[in-house]
Amino acid sequence: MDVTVGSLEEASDRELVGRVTAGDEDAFRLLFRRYGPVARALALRVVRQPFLAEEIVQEAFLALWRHPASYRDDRGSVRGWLMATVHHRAVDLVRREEAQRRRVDAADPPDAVTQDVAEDVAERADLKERRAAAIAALKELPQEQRQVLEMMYYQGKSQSQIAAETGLPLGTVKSRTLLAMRRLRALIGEPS
Amino acid sequence: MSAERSHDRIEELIALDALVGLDEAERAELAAALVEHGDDCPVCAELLASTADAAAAFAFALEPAEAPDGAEERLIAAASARPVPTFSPAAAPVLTPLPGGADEPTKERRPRSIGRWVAAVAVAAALLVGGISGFVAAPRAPSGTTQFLAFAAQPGTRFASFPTKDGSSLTVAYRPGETNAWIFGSGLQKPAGGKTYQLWWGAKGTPLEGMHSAGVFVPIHGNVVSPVTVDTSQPGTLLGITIEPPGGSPAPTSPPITATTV
Repeated sequence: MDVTVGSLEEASDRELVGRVTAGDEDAFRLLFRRYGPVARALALRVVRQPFLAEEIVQEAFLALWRHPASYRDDRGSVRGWLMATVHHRAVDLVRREEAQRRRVDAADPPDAVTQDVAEDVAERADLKERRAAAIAALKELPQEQRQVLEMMYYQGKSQSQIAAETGLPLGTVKSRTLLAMRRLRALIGEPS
Repeated sequence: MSAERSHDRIEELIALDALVGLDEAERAELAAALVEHGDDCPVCAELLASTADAAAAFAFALEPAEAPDGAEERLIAAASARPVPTFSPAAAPVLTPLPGGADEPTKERRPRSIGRWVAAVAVAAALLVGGISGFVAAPRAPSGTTQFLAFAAQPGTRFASFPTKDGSSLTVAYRPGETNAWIFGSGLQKPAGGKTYQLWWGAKGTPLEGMHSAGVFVPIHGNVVSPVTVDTSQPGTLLGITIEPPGGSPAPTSPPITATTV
């Protein structure tokens, strides 16, 4: 395929997925460079073990390489789809290996919302902006709602588990989940 | 029009799905609801897209993690490798991917136990009685979804799940001694080129060419709820799924992409 590096760098995520569909390895590499670091951070946050996180990221990107048509542009952004793929794999793994996870659960990573964006000098500018926007959106959520979502998203807990651990009625957990996701959709809601 | 229907429950289920928080009962309910609304429901499409992007905020809020040395080259090397051979009809069910999932060999996900499906049946029954999703109680002829929920709610219905990955699911609801059954699932990619999924059944040890067609199906919004015909009277009956030309084939044209037993 006759594509210069410059044109690839400027290509949108969806254009890159289109090129991956045609077997363009350079486009695949570029998507990996764009979103691999975030995917790795997510996998690491969920499974807590670097080698498992790396395996999850590799499997997720291999799935993109082998089945790029599984991305549908009417179902959201490429980045959202990629992160959902990584997240599902990570949570599946955590749930399968719950006992192993408990053994390494002592050192809880810092809350993502409290991290300092400005200190990360190596981060790409657009990713930094997206990260700042994500943190700002999460900060907009009432703490009790954010807590429920974080327990589900980062720890892979079910609503029943959260109710049991927090002592909240299951109905309260459900309503907080729905209200928080509704609010988050509105906050994040730029067109994909 | 689907846009005029209530989407409250669908919104709730899509949100849970984005958080990997659906149980089997809820997954079946979401699949049925999305199929009922159809692939062209703009509200469902918007909910699916915006919820996925909202959930991704949790990923993008994290400090990115640098790749270990050689990670990119290992990925490219793996991408260049040929996929591992998959299914042998004579063997026990093996985890193989549905298109849209990954195709690396990993641990087999065991078929879900019958016990966990008690909740699914309870939900189906509740839907039938209370019309929670609206469409169930709508004053019109029973839809496929309604028939499915009624089937699933009846005592004696059993469930055989196919091994899948990445949050996708595919299950056959059947009753021993009867040939009427349903296949339902979510997170499935529509086969390319107008092709269709086809479900096959056969007694244990049946060669590939001896499998019987149970029906064809194509996902809508990634979901499927479709009637099929299987004979599950013999323990160990094998169920397999292939991708076939439009309309299906008289015999499988390739090894199943996923399989399970009843």
